[in-house]
Amino acid sequence: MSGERHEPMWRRYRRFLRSNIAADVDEEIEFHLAMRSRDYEARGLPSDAAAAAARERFGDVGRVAGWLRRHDIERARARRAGEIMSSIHHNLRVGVRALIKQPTFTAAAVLTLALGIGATTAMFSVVYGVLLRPLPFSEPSRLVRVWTHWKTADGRGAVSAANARDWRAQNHVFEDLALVKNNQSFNFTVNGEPERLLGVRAWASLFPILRATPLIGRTFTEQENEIGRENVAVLSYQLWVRRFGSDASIVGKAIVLNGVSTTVIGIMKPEFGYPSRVAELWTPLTVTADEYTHRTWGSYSAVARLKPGVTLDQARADLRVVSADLARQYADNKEIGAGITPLLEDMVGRLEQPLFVLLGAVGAMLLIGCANLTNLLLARGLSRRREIAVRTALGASRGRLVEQSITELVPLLALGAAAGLLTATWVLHALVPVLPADLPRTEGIGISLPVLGFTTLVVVVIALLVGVWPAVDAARSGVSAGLSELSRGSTGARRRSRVRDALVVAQIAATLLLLVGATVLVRSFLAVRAVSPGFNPEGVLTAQVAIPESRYPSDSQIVAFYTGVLDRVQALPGVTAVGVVNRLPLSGDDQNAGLQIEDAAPHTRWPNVLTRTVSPGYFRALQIPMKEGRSFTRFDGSDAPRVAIIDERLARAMWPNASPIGRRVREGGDVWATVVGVVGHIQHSGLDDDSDPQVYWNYTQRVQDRLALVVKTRGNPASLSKAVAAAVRDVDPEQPIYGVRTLGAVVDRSLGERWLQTILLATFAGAALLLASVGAYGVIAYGVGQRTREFGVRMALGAGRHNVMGMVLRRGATLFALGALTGLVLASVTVRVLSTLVYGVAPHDVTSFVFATAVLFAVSMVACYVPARRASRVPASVALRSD
Amino acid sequence: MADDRFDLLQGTLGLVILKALLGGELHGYAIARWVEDTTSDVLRVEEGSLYPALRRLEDRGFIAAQWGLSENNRRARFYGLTAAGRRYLKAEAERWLEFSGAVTRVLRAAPSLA
Repeated sequence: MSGERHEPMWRRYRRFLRSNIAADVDEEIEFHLAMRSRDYEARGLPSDAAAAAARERFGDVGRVAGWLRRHDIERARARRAGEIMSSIHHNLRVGVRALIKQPTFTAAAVLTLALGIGATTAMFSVVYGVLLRPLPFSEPSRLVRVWTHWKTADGRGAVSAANARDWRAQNHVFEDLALVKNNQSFNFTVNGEPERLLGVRAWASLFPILRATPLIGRTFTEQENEIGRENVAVLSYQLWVRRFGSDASIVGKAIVLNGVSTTVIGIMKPEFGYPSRVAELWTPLTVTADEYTHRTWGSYSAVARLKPGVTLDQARADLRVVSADLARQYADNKEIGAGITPLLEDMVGRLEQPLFVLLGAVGAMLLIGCANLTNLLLARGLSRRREIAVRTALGASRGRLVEQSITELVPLLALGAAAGLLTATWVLHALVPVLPADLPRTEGIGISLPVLGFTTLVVVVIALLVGVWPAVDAARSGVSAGLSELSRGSTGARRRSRVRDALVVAQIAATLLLLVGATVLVRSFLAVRAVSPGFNPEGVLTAQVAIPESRYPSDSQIVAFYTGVLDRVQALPGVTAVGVVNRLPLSGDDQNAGLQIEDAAPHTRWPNVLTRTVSPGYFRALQIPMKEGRSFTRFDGSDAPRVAIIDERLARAMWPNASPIGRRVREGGDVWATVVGVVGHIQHSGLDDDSDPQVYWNYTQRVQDRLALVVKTRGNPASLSKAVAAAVRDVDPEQPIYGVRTLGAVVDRSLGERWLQTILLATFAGAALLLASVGAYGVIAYGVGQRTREFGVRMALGAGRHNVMGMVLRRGATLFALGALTGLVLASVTVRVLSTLVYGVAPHDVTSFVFATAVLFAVSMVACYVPARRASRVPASVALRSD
Repeated sequence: MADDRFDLLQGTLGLVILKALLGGELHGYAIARWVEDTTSDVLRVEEGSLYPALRRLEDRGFIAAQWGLSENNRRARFYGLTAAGRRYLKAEAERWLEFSGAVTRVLRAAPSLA
């Protein structure tokens, strides 16, 4: 194309399409009319008449001009598009050819991209699937969880039926509110094999709130929430397929749940699950009249849908008024407010920080990889200087060259993106199964459309980051260097080496940041692991048992059942101790209450305690030490005076200078119990989360229908699971056990999230370290190559090998020092984000900072040592000849 | 008016334009004038359709346009035959002559019209 000027492509394009085309058309027609009227004038017409005659002869000037304009614009556009396509096509071919010609470069670049894009995509899949993906209900942003806000305690408290009923009746902001009891056990026996199903009891309003309609049949009605009419069930699609072979005629028929005949009234759609996909059936929640008189009872949760247009703040304000009314009306409600949290935030809010920290870390790793890629491209640009100089000489504009360089990058990026997506799929394949079991919403983790969108964005950002500088550099040197430029130490070379140095400094800084973070997390993980739980999980098998009230309506029947099970399991070979407990330590389950102490000063606050129902074998099985007094015995039966065992934490807090034995305590409203023993305190909520004091009741005196068996064995505990299940069936053939795992596995699981977080950040930091050392190596090696002649001269003039090596290493050390300094400053500012994630170490842990810096220093120096050594081994003759 | 002149038949305008350009590059007005002069004003080029016709020939690759200076030193768009246009003109002209010759022979055949 002739006369190509340097102007942005968009302006060239606009000029091409708009003003000039119209002007050209007008000019052509003007010219025609002028010529015609000149001819008429020559024949003697006056000039105005001649002009008029010319126009008349021409016809409809406006219509013709319009047609021509439209035609020409259309043609120009088609032509330009063709030109762009063929230029893109050409550059792509050049790019592909370059990739084939330089396999080492291609492999290094694609590997870097695959790693960076793959890790970033995989991490974002997790972030999207867990945190960002909308809840699978219509208009999910209007769904909220409503909870009891105890003015005396942190956290989201459980809701009582009485308060939920009043909140529902008196608020002005909810479309509706539903009371829900999650994690309900349903024993379901088919073909003699009892199975425990996990279900939910809920008010009928749950379904309209979630906008959930059944696939077949119906959901339950308000009337079915009344006692006597509640024996209906809605099944999940998955349960229906699994246990009923998708037989639609099951709807309307009765099945036996917990020993009670229950009518199946509906099957939900496949995508429905509340509170998660784990729930397999939903039955009406009934509340007795007695329960409605106790405003602090109940371990329910409540879910509601905001009316359209109602904001969270408005809802909170309205509920404040409602709770203030209730507090005036009922003494029990004095300390109770209503909290409102968006449902999604309630489910995943606590994961926001760890997941975004990991996403940030993987992003930093990607940037470090990009810096390497930029270096590679700069180096490749150098080797193409001649070609670029020729193109420049032939009139290619700088914009064209930049455009060309970026287009040539496309095949590389496409390859990298494809490899990255493959890597991500593979990573997710490996990662998702080992995600902590209590991580919610993992079923939504995958390469979805939004994830692909994110990946595309990442690739575009990479293209701009790694493409623009080498392209501009190439174009600039192309303009200035001319065909003969091969000299070293030219301004272009100096500028380039400054850029390379800056990249290495940035890489070292970012790597140090990651290393510090990873070290802090690893140290924190080790600190958590080192915490003694207060019990010995070794050789202990655990199994959950939930016996239905319908089959065991009285306390004595429940006690008889568990006593029978305990006797049978105790008799199994290899069993040294067996016990039951209502909540296993570190399992995530909890049960607590305020404990009233007899003879305490009036207005003493009741300490919050974890309440445990256990059999005496529990202490033996877990080796929880008896500190004072005695354990429960068979004489502490249901008719005997109530006794209690407390842990030493409570003993010290309440009776710092006296023995607690013989004192009396009780849960609010219950009968007084005499303290007969003191045991060691155990970590219940988590190794990293110090628990409240614990109070133990005997299982015969404070009866619970859902208990966990703990079985201490001499051998491998896992091998005992069949025998334990059989022992339970021996007592009641319809009674299943579930959640069978060793106590060691329960402890490990409680560390799962922390472990994963640590291992992921450590992996990212390790990869970053590798990438950065490769980057540093590349730059130092390149610098050595550039200075080979200089080194040769120096050595010829008597400089020793060590001097030369020292020079190279000093340069490496300078870069390292600059990078480390930047990194330490960055780290000291940003490690604060770890503050909620660490345990036992401060985020500003000096040891971690020093350790990370030392590791990075050692690795960087190794990366510099190799080229330094090479520099010192070059024979002077070779060095001097080298060019 | 115009009873002694003929409007060009559909499709023949292109042929006339190509023929006009056989002598060398011309601008639009010169093409119109060439036709009028050559046919002593018997064939009249509809000027409004001249330029669209030029565009169509350009699109088909028979002619190429370029801006240049006219005889009175004004900027004007000049049209010239391409190799493809030359070939097309030759083929079409032969077809046309054959066709019109045949029609002429038919009209001259006995019995005479006069």
